Formats: sequence, structure tokens, C-alpha cells
Amino acid sequence: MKTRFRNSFILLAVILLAAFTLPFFAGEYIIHIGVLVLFYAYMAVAWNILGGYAGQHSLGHALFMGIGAYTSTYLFTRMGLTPWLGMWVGGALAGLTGWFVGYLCFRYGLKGPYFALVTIAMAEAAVYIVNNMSAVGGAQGLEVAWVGREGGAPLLMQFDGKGGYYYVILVMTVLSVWLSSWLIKRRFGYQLVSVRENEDAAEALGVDTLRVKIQASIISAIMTALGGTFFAQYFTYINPRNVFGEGPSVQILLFAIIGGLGTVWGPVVGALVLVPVAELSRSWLGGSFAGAHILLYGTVMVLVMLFMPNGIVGLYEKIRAQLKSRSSNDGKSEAS
Amino acid sequence: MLEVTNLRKDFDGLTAVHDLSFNVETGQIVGLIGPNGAGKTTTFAMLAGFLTPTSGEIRFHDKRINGLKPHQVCKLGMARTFQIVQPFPDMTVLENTMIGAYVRHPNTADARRKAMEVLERVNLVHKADTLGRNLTLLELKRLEIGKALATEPGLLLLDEVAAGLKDAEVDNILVLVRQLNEEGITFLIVEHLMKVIMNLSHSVIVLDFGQMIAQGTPQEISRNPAVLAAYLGKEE
Repeated sequence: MKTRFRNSFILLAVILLAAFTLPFFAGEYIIHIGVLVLFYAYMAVAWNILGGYAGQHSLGHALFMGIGAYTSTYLFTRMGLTPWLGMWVGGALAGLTGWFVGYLCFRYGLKGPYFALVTIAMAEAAVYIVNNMSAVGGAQGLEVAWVGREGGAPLLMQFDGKGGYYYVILVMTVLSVWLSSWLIKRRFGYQLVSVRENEDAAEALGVDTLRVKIQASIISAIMTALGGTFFAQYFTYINPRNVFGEGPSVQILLFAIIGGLGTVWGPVVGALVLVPVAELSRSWLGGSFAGAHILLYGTVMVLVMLFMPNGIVGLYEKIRAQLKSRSSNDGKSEAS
Repeated sequence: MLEVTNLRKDFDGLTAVHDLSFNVETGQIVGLIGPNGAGKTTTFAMLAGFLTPTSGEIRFHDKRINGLKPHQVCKLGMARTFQIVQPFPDMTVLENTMIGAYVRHPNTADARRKAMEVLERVNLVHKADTLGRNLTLLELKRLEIGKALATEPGLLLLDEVAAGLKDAEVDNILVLVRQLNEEGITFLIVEHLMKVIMNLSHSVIVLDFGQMIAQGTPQEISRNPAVLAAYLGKEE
């Protein structure tokens, strides 16, 4: 037991060290892929709190991403408020929206596919609403003005080169994983899982299932919105489709599902495996065989789903459990 | 401890429970029996907050509890088990029990300690790290009681806790319930197995077609003509 704990501690330290030193020896393109991996890992961790732990599969999380991206960008471009503060305004708005969506759905007992459908509808409604809001650029979206100073403007979340963005999203991801692993070891985390596993039984054992589901929805929404602000700052352009649309909604949850639903590391592992596959296959195959990269990406995804129904982390844990029971059986046969 | 007055439940014109009144005194084991469809499980669901009564009143510790949600009823000290066992399949036995223990012990270390105590009581300590999905039926029934016990109830509602068990296993559960009762927990039990009811109950309530047709000691009930008619007059 002790060696395993020490081993995983060393592994974690090595990964963190590698992650923090990457920009010193990698080129811009690799750092860009790193940013994408971390961004999607972060978003999947946020989604996982509601979708994985509590088992309420939201298919419209882009709603919160869009609220975060649009709020901070609007405040920045129209009022000059730094995104470092604007992201929290977006977070608060998304938290309110998360409460509203959660209350509306869970108060009336919506579950499974019905909950998923409502979340799709909400996000899709947001696309059309924002499309028609001229104050935030309508369908043309908003551009994040580059302040254009030498060396960027770190106080406005603008950096010269990709390294600065890399560190911002790295810290966000580390904090989100820490929060997620902290939550799951406390009463709140256990109660969320009990709701996923058997809601009636949880309620009978004194779990306020409505309350914990709404709380999970709020936390997940706030985290997702903060990620939305980062997205806007990094890509410097947002429009209703690319932040509120079904694209980001689906991408976010894919990484969590492929990596391992409801596990602490699943969302991170999912992004770590899939994002490079998507990016590298596009750059290698995109030019010569148009569309081949999507085929490859799809194939990898189907294979993972077929052979790892519980995701990559789920498979790893199953193998470890089997090895453990085999070694304890060996111990017994030796003793007898 | 529990006072039920004129309780009634209608489902779309069908009356499942009709004008039901009874009391459960502290320290008792009260049996609730009746043929299939008599309204036993509906009554349980109303007591525990899973169904709202159409009319009537449920008082627990002199507090009106109809309309409260199950988790609120649980916090007041009334816990239930389910006829069909309801484990959390992907949580360990210990974690299953901790969910109940968290009601009185918000801190995880305390909840874990309490859950281990309970697992000792229901004889599942050796299974603490086993997943809920990997238990036998007897173990699941014990876990079902353990989870409810972990909420530290004053009144425990057992819904057919012996159903599907072998004879020796039933005895096993009987011993456990009697011990817990001696330690001060009051029981209301729904059961099909007469052996369980006759062995355990201080008092028995008989339902038929949603109405109470008799109440008394097990001996009185077994001689009551109305009860015999309800059971023997039909295919049961």
C-alpha cells in the first residue's frame, strides 16, 4: 500500500514537472497542442462534476462556456474591464444560470435523456438569442481587441506568444483537478455519487438529492464559464456557434467519457489522448487526404468505446483490481 | 412514537389505502400484514415521505410529517428499507453505509467510523471493501438494514426484509432484528412470511383492500375470523 502511494506521488510529481517545463523546450506548435489538451481537460473536469459524479449528463454545457466567454469579452471590449475580473462576473452569471437550469429540471424530476434534451435546448436557444443581440455583435460575434503592447498585457490576460496562455490554463487545470479530487472525498462527493447510483435509496438515507444536484450544477457551470473566458482570450474571437453551439457541448463530454466518467483523472486522460490524435492527424493527413483525419479520429473513438466501456481510467482500474485479487489469491495458495 | 390518523391514498380514482389509523409505541415491533395489494407498501411509502397522502395525518414524535420529503423524514429519525434491495452498486459496502452515516456525521472520518460500527452489527465488516454489485442476496439484505441503521433511526421500517431468503438466512435476520429492538430501536415491519411476523411482533395490523380489518397480538390475529377470511377466502 505504502509503495503504491509513494509511486503515484512520484508519478504525479514527474507529470507536473514535465507540464510546467514544457514551454522551455517545446516549439509554439507543441505548446499550442498543450494549451488545447489542458483547455479540454479543464472543461471535461468541470463537466464531470455534474455529468460524471452526479450522473446528470448535460449535453448543453456550451451554454455556460458561452456565458463566460461573452460576459468577460463584452466587459473587456466595451467597458475595458480586465478579463481577470470579467471572468468572475461571467462565472457568477453562469452560476445563476446553472442554478436555474438545475432547479427547473431537477425540481420536476427530469432525468437521463430528458435532462439531456433540456440542456441541448437551452444551449441552442442561447445561440439564437445571442445571434439576435446586436449589442454583442449578433451572428458576427465579438473580437477580443489586441492591446498590442510589446510583450503582451498580462494584466489583461493577453500574452506575447503561447507560453503565457499555456501557464494560465495549466494552473486552472491543476486547480480544477485538485478541487474535483477534494470534493469526491467529502460528504458532498459521496452524496453526488449516491444520487447517480440510486436516487431513491439516497433520498431514503437522508440525502437531499434535489439540493446536491443543483449545487453540482452551479459548481460545474461556474468552472465551465471561467474556461469560456480563457477560450475567448486565447482564440481572440467568439461567435454564438463556436461558444454556445453543439460543437463545444459535445467535445467537452467526449473527453470525460473516453477518459473515464466519474473518475478524477478520466477527463484529463481523455483530453491527453484524444486532443493530440485529433490535432496531429489533421496536420499530417489534412493536406494530402482531406477528411482522413476525421476518419482516424472517429476510428480511435469507436475502438475506445468498444473495448473500454468505462473509459481509459476505468479499464486501468479494472486491470489493477484483477492483478490485486490474483496476487492475494497467490498469497492464499502459498499459505495453504 | 408514530400516530397515523385516517390515512387515505387515492390513485386516479382507485383507493389504495382507506381510513387507516394506528399507533406504534416506542420499543415495539409492529407487524403490518395483508394479502397482495392490500396497501402495505403504499402505507410504507407514505410514512417515509415517498408518497403524499390524499388525506389524513401522520405524526412522528408529535410532529406532523405528511408532505415532508424522504430525506427530511430520515433526519427526524425514521428510516426505511426497500422490498427490492437498493444498493449503490458501484460503491463499496463501507461507502454504501457511509451515505447513511453522513446524516448525523457530516465529517467523513466520523461517518466512516460510524459505518464500520454498523457493519460490525450486521456482520459485513469482512465485506467492507466489496462493491455493492458483488454481494449475495443475504448480504444485500444485511446491507439494506445496515445502511438504514447508519442513519441512527428511532423507528425502522422494514419492507419484506426476509423475502427470497433461505430458512437459515431468515433466522439470521430474525436474530438481528430482535437484538436491535432490545437495544432500543422500534420497528414497523411489512412481511409475507408468517414465521417472521409471529416470531417478532408485539402487535399485528392486518390490512385488506386498503382497510384495517384487525389489530392485536399475533395469537389474537391468528384466531381472528375476519383475518382468516381475508387470507383463506381467496387464492392466497
